[in-house]
Amino acid sequence: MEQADKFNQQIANSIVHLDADAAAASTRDAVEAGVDVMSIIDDGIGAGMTEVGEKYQADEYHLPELLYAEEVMRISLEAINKAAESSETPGVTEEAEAHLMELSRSWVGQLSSCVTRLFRYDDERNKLAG
Amino acid sequence: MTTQTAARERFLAALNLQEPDRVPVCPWITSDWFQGHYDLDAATWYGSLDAQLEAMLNLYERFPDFQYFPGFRASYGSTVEASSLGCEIKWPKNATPYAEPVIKDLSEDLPNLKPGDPSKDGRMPQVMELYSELANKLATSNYEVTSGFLHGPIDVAAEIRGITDFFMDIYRDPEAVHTIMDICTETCIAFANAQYKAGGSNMLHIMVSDDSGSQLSEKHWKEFALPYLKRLFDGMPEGVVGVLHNCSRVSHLIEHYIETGAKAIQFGEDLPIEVAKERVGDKMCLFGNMGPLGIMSNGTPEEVEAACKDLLQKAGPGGGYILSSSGSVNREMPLENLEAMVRAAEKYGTYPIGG
Repeated sequence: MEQADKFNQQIANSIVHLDADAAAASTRDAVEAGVDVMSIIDDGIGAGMTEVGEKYQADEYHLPELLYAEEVMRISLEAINKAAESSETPGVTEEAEAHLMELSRSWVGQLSSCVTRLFRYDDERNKLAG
Repeated sequence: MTTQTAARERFLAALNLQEPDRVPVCPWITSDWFQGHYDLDAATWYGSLDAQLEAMLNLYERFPDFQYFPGFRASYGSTVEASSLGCEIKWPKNATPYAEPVIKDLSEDLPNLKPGDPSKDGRMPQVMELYSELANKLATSNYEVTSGFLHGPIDVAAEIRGITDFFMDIYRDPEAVHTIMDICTETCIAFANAQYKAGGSNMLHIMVSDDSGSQLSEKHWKEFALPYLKRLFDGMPEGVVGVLHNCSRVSHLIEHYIETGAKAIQFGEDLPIEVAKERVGDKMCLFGNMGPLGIMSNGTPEEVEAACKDLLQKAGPGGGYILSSSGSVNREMPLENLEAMVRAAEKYGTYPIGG
């Protein structure tokens, strides 16, 4: 349990710090060490993304950080699949996929509100020179 | 003093942080409102300088302050800078044109990116013809081309790369971002100077938008936007006042805008006018900051007048204030609300304000 917490904390930190290489490496290490994939998704990747969202809400992070965090999250998820292919871990189970979908929905909700705001600016910008 | 001269002196005094006879009132009326009010479709508007000129003359003769902002200038949509950098331009029916990103792959496409040349690239030559023709036509009616406009380097970069990829490039490949910004800045400088020359070299100000820039953190904006905006304003024609536009969030950036060399800023309603006045009002002329989508479009004339009175009382004292919208006015804004803004400036914006 302690070991899982340690791995998940590393994954979450690497996402919060927008470090794609560290996210991939720590995710791979966690899978290979036998940490439950659902726990990686929820307590590692999910926790990291939640903190990114909180930082955005608090104006500590801005749109580039939000967008790039999503890329780091994808890299982390790909690392789960890759590690699962080459080890005897269960990889992404149906249950884990369902969790992932749920996580994605809440995340997409946050992103879409940002994108809506961005489109407002785009629309505004498109009118400017006219 | 003629009405026209009074409007000019009023505008220039405010730009120079002084108190004129009263606060100038200059909502940002662009193609969207003109098209709606004069019942012109986008093709007619963009395709006919005579239609643009007739609309501007009609409105500006009625509201003389408007001739200095938004001013007499050629209307050409938002894609000119991007077109000069190789973007394909899409023209949807009854909407403003937009640009397809041209840098799809950094390693393949970026080496081919060169600064746009106003004399030959994309839609820029057309814009120069428009400015030149406008200047000639205005000369017969004793008016001048008073304003220029361009999208700033970050806005242009976001168009030619696509805004999502551009923002992610800050983390993926910051050197590439600097390369793009460098080329966009050179393009913007050339465009600003070409507009000035083609318009008869009488422009008082050139506005530069930085809407996309405010999506960056302060740290990233200082690295990826500030040096390029500064270079752009340094490269403007001599004597022309640089005006910044950003109707997005500016609270984390507003002091830094002073460092760009711009003398005025039009900003969004997110930043209360009294806060902006306190933070930068002694260094920059403030334009704003009525939200174009709220009371201006949907309120009654009485509500517009009350909101303007509030702005005038907060930002007017000491000068350096132009009553304006925070962005381009929506086509739904009733003429009565425009009249209410002007009425408010006359009733509550005469100096000394509150005296």
